[in-house]
Amino acid sequence: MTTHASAKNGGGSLFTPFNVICGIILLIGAGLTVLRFTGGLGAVTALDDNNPWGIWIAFDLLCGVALAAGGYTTSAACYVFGLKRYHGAVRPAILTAFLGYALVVFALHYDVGRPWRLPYPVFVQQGTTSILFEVGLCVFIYLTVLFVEFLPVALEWKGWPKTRNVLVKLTMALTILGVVLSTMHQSSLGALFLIAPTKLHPLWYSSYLPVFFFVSSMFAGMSMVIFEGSMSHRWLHHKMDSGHLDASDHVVLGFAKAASYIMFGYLSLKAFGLAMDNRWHYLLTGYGAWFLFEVLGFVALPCYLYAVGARDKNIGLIRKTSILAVLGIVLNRFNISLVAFNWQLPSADRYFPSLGEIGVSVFVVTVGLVAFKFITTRMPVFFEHPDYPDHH
Amino acid sequence: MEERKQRIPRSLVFLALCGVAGLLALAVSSGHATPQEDDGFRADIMSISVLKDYGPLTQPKVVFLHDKHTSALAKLGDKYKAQCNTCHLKDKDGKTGLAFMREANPASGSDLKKIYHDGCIGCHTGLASEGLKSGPLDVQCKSCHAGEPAVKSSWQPLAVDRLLHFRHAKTQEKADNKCGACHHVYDEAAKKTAPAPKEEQVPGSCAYCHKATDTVTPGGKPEKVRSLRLASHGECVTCHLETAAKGPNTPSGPATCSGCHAPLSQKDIEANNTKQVPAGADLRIKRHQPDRTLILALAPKAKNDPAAKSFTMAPVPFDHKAHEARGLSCASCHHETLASCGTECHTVAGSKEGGQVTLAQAMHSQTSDHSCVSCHAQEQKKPECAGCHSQRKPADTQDKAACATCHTTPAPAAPEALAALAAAPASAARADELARLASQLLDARPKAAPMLATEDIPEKVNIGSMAKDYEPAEFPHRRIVLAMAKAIKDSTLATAFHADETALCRACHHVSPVSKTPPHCVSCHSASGPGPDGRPGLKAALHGQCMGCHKAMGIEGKKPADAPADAKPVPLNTDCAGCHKQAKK
Amino acid sequence: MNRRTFLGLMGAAGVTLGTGSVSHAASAADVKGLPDSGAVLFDATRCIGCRKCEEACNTVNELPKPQAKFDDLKVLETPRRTHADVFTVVNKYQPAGAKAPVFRKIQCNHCLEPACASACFVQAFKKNETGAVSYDASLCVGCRYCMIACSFGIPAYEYNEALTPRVRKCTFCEPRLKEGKLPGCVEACPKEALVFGKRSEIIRIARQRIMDNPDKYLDHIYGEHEMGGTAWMTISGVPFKELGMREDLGVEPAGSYTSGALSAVPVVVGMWPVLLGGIYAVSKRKDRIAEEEKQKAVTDAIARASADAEAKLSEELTKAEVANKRRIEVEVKKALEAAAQSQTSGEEE
Repeated sequence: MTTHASAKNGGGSLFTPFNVICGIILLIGAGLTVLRFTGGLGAVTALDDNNPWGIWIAFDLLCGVALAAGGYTTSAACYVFGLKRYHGAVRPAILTAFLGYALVVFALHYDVGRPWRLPYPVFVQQGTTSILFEVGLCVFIYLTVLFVEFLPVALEWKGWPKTRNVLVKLTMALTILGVVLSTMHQSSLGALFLIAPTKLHPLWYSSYLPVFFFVSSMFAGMSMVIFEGSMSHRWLHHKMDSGHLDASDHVVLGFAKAASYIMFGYLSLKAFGLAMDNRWHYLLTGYGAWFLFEVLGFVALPCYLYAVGARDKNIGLIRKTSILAVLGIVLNRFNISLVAFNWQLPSADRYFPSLGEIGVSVFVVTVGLVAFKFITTRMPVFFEHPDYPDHH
Repeated sequence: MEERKQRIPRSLVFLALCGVAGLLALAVSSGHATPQEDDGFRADIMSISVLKDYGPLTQPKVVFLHDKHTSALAKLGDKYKAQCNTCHLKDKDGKTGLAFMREANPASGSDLKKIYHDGCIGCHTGLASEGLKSGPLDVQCKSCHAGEPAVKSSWQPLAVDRLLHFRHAKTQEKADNKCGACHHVYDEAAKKTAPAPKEEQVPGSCAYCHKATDTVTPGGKPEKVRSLRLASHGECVTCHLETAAKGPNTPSGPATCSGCHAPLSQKDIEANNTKQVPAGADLRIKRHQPDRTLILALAPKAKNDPAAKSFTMAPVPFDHKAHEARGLSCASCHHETLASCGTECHTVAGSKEGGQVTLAQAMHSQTSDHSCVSCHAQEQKKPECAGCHSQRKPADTQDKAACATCHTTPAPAAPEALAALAAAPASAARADELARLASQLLDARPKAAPMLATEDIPEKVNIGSMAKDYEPAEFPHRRIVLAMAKAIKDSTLATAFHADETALCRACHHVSPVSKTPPHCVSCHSASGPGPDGRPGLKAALHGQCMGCHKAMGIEGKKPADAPADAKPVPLNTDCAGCHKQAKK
Repeated sequence: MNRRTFLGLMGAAGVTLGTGSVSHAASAADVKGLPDSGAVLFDATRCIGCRKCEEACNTVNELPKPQAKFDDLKVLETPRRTHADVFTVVNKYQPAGAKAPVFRKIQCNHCLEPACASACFVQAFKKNETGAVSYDASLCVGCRYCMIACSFGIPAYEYNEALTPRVRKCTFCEPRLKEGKLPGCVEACPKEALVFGKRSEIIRIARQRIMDNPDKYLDHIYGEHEMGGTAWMTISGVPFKELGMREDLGVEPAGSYTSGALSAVPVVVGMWPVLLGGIYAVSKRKDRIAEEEKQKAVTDAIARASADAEAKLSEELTKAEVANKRRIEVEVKKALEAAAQSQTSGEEE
């Protein structure tokens, strides 16, 4: 598929299949937006008093933040750990992260009752006993950090060298700040659920939840970088320069190896978590089978496959495994916030997303895809701007 | 390269198999052996865990359904003529033991296990080999060792009450042994138990000697005593079977677990008892007990002053015959022995034999099952009493004036005479004297509870000092008081304790001193809300009294039995307008 | 040490921090039991399920009238929960083995250390001296984390409000309390199943009732310690589980479950930059040393090469000189021999 128009329509037509589908989704999204802000949450969602959080939190917020973790992992790998060959992966990862977090905030405008008050916890009254305050503050600052980290790309495109150079000098500080902020808010998203031990199934509730979320965010980010890389290679190959292409295999292999190690650590932590709270007998229940399905099929299995792929230098296997790993993160966040949450309620009172909610989530992702395509086809993300040769 | 490519699909297949195996394990482990029948509830569930005396159990307890086996064997009657003796062996005296396929427990646990396994599984295998339906065979450990039964047990203990005793005693009227058919004594010469032929030789209830477990008292008479369970099953069931064996026309008792212990069977037994016992039959279990007696509480005399006054409380005249009709059997009150309470065990000061329970505690304990006061308290829970008695405060129930209801001194008898009577050894003359004094006091009691004159009981009371959303309530005061008095007029207990004419008033008109003109509720219960000492406000006091009484008597929504046809039923507690009409806005 | 070991240590440190000691939020933990704050005792043995409390709450809070009237007791057949316009409900329960049904009034329990107050990131919930946990709709962003946090499942939300949705729950009739009046439901109850007073007083009353009537009540005041203690407490004659009340909530306030995670934040902020800076410094140093070693190797190589060359050159020069000398000697000798020969041949003539 190519962004260039087919010969039939002449050059530069807007109505490519991708654009048409995205356009339809954007229109539906616009409609849902109107519905949401004229009829309230009840008009669009299936939320109720027993289930106040649905897929807008489970997917758009929790998965969005976890999968945008590629930003801090890649920039940490390149700048803090000094692994220079990851340099080519940094900009795409930062872009994915920036768009990811921006979309999280965008989706929050739908979920939260009064979105214009979103700045309140930072600027009006601070609820410092609340984990959500910590999440909000860190996401707010981190979005700014990502924006500043991404700004050089736009400035190169726009041709503002002086500002760009100043910003590039901040890279090291911003990277460290990014890791600090990411540690805090990734783990805090898990800590959100600590407050409700009676509502979350014992297999998923643990005082280690923040650690689980933070550690899983690391391999979530790496897997997302691999996945996004494979998608970009497929659809945006023509935008990639030799510098990027040469290093991409190295990035994939390196992240696969790192992810495999971290997943192994995560599995040990999970086992310790079960042991510390003596939860083994829950494994013999229906929820136990589901838990094992999530952990073995979507963490243990990709852990193994990543290791095999890294050892055999099998890029194709690693790319497929990254899909499995990403789905595993999605499954994990869904399990904690929707499936294992309110597990004791009778099934008539349980939650299932409405079409409106699904529609808005699809809309949000589509906005992200469109933005990604727009930026990567114009700005120096996959290629080096000739005026700014990279210094290694 | 080839090998590498093969390894991934192989490992995926392996993991998939693990997943499937895991799910299967999940399904299998969550279930345990289900019984072949599901009757809902069963009364014959036995839990076999004899091996626990030999060390920690390695398998869960065996769930054994006794009736199921006996009925199965009965169906195969021709083959298993021995019936009980198929599993329960006869000893050298020809008596059927109650242990399974053994006379005594072997020394080693593995031998005992072998006895059970060979006995049970062997029989099952035998049946299975003949193509008959049988129980679990070898290798199906968890089918027997299920731990907890899958069905709920409905087993209830069976009490031998006077009706049951009467029916059994009647069958032995013309027998040689009479009481001795069931009751026995220890013959020291023969060093074994012998039937107790005469009434006065009967020690009493089986439970006096046969306790919850087998007891061994070195030097006791006898030394070894079977547990109540073994004794009762050993004697009762065998006797029933022997009687039944005499022929189909000889009525006999049940021989299955559920026949005695299932709730429905017990209802049948009671119904049968009432049918079979002729009206007016004398159900008294005769043992030369007094009809009436005077209970004396004799404190230990001061050692160095024999003439010192030694009474603690005034004596209590006791109508023993009337009380016999109340309890299930003698053992309701005489819970350890038929002897009098205070002679050996519950002495005034307490003794070792009585578990250090003093006579006062034994008579007055609120929590015991055998004391006078606790039994009287049970009576107060009956619907016709509960309306008033459920509302009384704890302070009300410790009314010291009520002691005099039971404790009265016979008029002419001097304390010294009573002391001499108490100290005298038991004899017919003494018993007669006690009975005479008791009758003197008991006959002096009023036959009917005194009541206020009808004119003195206000007919209707207008309760309306707080009326706001509702109009005042017209309370049919006299009708209710008279109805309640009528309901309890036949109760001797009520008559005795409701000694003055304002007794019935005191349930509602409480705390303040009784009079014919008790103060209005608002004198003590404020209309503005509850008081600092936890006393309810006026609204709650009124509602609490009325609704509480209705609920305790169980008359919400019902009409009293003798009400006229057009009478309204008592309003439900939630039917506000039933008591007071809605006020017009 | 190498990078791998360092990362391992980091991981261990992170795990320990995440499960480290609980540092309690300072707010209400110092005040043991808030003895003078307002509290209400609900006596389940007194409630007859007449719903007068629901009616009073509806009137006092000017809530919309429900479809079924308040004297319609058929609504008790289905268990209900609080809703956006229903702050309290009475539910009917049939406990196992009990002859008559038992009723329970459900409303916000006004906990001493409320989960909602701990969870709210704009502090829209506050525990007041009156005992009420109040909600400030002018701050609420509508994130609904309070609804997640409340283990009693009380807060409800106005999902059908487009622009001004609020969280809704019992207010403890705080305006009335400030005027010295009783909450609407407490005043309306005909059986005084609800009693209002200071918390210490209410606990004393509950204990007295239990002591005076041991057969009537279970020896437990629900809410005395549950979730760190609540203002609305219950005594009952049947097990609380039979009334739909969870008995597995524990005695820790909800905030104590998250304070551990929050206490890790300053550690991360303080230590992560040091660690990451350290890693960066170490990796930079490694690169620099590698660079230095490379340079050194190059200069060494050059030096060695030039030394070799020079040695070879002097050797060749010496050899050449020796050869030259010898050639000169040979030539001189030849010349001398030639000269001598020509002299001898001239003399012969």
